[in-house]
Amino acid sequence: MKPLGILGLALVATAATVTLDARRTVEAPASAPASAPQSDNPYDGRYTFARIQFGGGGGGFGRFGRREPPWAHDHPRADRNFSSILGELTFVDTDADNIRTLRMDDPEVFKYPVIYVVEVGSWNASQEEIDALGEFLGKGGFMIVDDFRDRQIYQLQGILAEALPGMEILEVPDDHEIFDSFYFIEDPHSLIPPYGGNRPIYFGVFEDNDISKRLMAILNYNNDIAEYWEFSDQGFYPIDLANEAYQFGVNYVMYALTH
Amino acid sequence: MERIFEALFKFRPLLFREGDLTFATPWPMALLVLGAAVIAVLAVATYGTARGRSSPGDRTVLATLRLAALGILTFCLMQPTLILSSTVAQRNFVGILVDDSRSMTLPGEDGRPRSVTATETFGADSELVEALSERFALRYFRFSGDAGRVPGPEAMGFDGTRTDLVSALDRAREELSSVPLSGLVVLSDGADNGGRALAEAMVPLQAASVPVFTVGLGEETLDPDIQVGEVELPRTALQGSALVVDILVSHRGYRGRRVPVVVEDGGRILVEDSVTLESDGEPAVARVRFSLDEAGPRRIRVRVPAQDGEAVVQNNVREVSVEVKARRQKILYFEGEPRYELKFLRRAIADDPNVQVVVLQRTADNKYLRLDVDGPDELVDGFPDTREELFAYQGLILGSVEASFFTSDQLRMIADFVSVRGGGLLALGGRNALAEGGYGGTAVDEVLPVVLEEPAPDPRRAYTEMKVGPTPAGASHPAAQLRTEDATPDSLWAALPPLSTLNRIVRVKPGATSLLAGDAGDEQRVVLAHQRYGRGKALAFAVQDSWMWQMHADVPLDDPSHEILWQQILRWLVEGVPDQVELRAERDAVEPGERVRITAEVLDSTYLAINDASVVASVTAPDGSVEQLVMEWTVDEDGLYAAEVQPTFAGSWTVDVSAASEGAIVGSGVLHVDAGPSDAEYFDAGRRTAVLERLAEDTGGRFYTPETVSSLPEDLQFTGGGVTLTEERDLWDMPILFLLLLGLVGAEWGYRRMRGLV
Repeated sequence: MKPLGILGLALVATAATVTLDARRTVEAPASAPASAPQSDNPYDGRYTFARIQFGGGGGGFGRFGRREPPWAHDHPRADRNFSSILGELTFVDTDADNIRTLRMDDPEVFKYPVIYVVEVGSWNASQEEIDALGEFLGKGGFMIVDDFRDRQIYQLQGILAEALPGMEILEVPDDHEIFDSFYFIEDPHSLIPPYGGNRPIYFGVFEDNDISKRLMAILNYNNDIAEYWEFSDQGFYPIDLANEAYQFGVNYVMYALTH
Repeated sequence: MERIFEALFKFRPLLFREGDLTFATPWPMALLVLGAAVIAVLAVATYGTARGRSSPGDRTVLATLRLAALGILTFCLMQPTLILSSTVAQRNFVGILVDDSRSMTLPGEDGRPRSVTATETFGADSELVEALSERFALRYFRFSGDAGRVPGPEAMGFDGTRTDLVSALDRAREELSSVPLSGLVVLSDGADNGGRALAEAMVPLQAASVPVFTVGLGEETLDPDIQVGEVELPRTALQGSALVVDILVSHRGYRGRRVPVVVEDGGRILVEDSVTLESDGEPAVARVRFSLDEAGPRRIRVRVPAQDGEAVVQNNVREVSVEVKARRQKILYFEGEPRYELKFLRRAIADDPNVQVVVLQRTADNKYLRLDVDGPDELVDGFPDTREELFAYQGLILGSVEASFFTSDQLRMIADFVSVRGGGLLALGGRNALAEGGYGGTAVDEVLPVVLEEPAPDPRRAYTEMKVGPTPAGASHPAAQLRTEDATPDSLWAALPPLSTLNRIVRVKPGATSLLAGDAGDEQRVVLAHQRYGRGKALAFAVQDSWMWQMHADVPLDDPSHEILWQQILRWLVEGVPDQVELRAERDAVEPGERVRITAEVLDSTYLAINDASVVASVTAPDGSVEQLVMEWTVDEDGLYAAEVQPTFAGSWTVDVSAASEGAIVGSGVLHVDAGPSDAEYFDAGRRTAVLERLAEDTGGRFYTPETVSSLPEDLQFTGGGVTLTEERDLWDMPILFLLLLGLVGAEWGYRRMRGLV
């Protein structure tokens, strides 16, 4: 069976579980997305979805009347849904119930070499966070940056330039390995952003600014794949788009686990 | 002692050993015995019937003394005679073999060079040679690495760089085989370094009844002296690999002194260390670490600078050849689940020019990701199904992949990869690895260096964090180092964060060695262990996240520990893994003109021996001239081909060997032989008395020192072979008999005086 088919089946198969979770989450107090993930267990050797938390935790905006900080968009449903799908489709050993939300300057973050960050336009990183990010990426960590657009990239560029002096943000070629590490994504730009608008562009940070070397971070500019993950079990978006969004996520993690 | 014996018994003990005792009296033996008995009875009766003041005890003592005296007289009347086999004068030959090697220039017991003693003792004008010449025709041979006839010891230069006693004895025996040979005389310090067992020469000598008389020259121990012992370096090494080498330094007379130990490569100092010398004769060990960064044949020189007053300074330097290979050794890493361990392992060895890790990553059911393959077809069908495919790699890493993934043939093939092919297997820890992966009782289990305990029902519940550090064996093992240039200090290990495991390993197999251990609180775990298995080796690294030593917040960004550890493990894993064509030279350094045997083991792609291969060696001299040699199958051993190479002048000689079978190239190999003068003669240069004594005793000869060699002509006369006649020597007039008789009669008289019986 082709991986795409497996993905479709897995989506349906996991939908029930995720839906139950989703119902519970929807019924839960709307003020708790950041502070009440399903569990926040310590490191146990498995792949664990690690989301970077920043700012004071207040303010921000949310869907369905929720007020949530920018770093917590789509959290924790997207995180859990993606972990479930990753565990179902691949042999990656995951604990979908365990989602870590960590500040970049928390030493624990180094136990999770793949991190996920959103709304980086709102990330006013402290020097400690910037230093930790530079060390994290330099040691071999991988960062997925999602859900940002327009001028927000300048904020990210500033953080990265300080974290990795001399670094340049380069466009990831369409035929890069990351688009073929598990699924073959023929046209990465075909996944339209959930909110419409500009054409998505995939930027990257490469070791030594050399696109033949290791990709240290992928930046989903003008896109928000976790938005699709969050609502993949609720029919909010077409299944094909959710399917494609998962493909990106699976490929990112697979690349990060092998490169 | 021997002189006292000779004074009392008229002849030396040797003649009694060699001769037969007989009685030459013309009277019948029975009559003599009867007469003696009658006289004895009469004597006893006389004493028995005597009266007077004597007590029965006195009479018994006096009768015994009288009987003893009568017994000696009777023995003399029987005309005891020694029958000896004696060589016929001027009808026999004696071969005199004189050690012509450099060690003969070392001082002997009297402080003069051993060669001077040899020349004086066996020179044409010496008394000894004069005595020998009266009875024998003498033939001189010189020997060192080879042997040849010489007019006498005066014509020798004592500059041979090797001592091959076995070849010398063979040569002399063969050359004198057509003449009556009474024996061979060997003048040597016995420091044989020809590499052949002495028995090889002794058996034909024994068969031909040729006794060997050995004359040991020099002192048994040189004092004061320092000697660098054997340096155990691998025959081949990967470029840039860190090597840990123990250097043995033995000495006499320098107890407590701290001396430097220097390791050089082509004049460049690789490492300098020092060692404190222990008691006399007890070797001290200097453990040095260095890496060989230049590819090609390297001559590594280990030296201890000469100390004041040393008897021999040449044995302070030892040279060893190493072939440093620049090629990439290929390792297949099969990982059953995508996990960080693979990512960080790849990163750790990414810049290593000598190790190529080809990754087969199972990402989902029947779905694989191939990384760093050499072509589109490599591993296209997943894990190799055939030996040819698997045996093309030098190393194999098994990640977290369950045993049931493999067929039983594949599991057997993995075991054969180690035992038959000689490859290196590394089994990593993980939820589907080792016992938890179901490997217990499989063919792979046999290979592993660790004992697989009962698997945990749920590996995740077996999650254990451990603080990891080296075992005593691991502290000096190249595969367990965090630094290449120096020993890994304990502080480095202590600073590393804990690692976690899902596999409880607490025991290694007999013969295996634990290199890294983990402190799991309630028990000690085996973290890294290795063992030899067949031709290859196996390692187990029972953790799931060695990458923590790279990523953890406590590990500085520029800390190379993780990279170096993995580079060291993988280089060690594939170090010395044999190819299809494996070359060996009998010796890696020879004298110019000396022959050296080269062998090539030729195997097919499944590592089975090929006996019908066409094997050709191209020998390139230092001046660039090339000679082709055909290597013939030895017949003794499957797949083994041999040829002799003779480097005729000094320099590095290159031997390129190519093997073909059924029209296809099987493989090729290259080795180097260094031709030049060697200082091997100066090592262990004390007199080897035991060797010389054994040679003499086992062939019916005798061992001498320069002080005792004067009896050699007579010994040769009565113990040598060749043309002999029988000689009779009277024994009745031995001084001991006269003295005994005198003593007994005197004792009787004295006893009577003492007891007042006169």
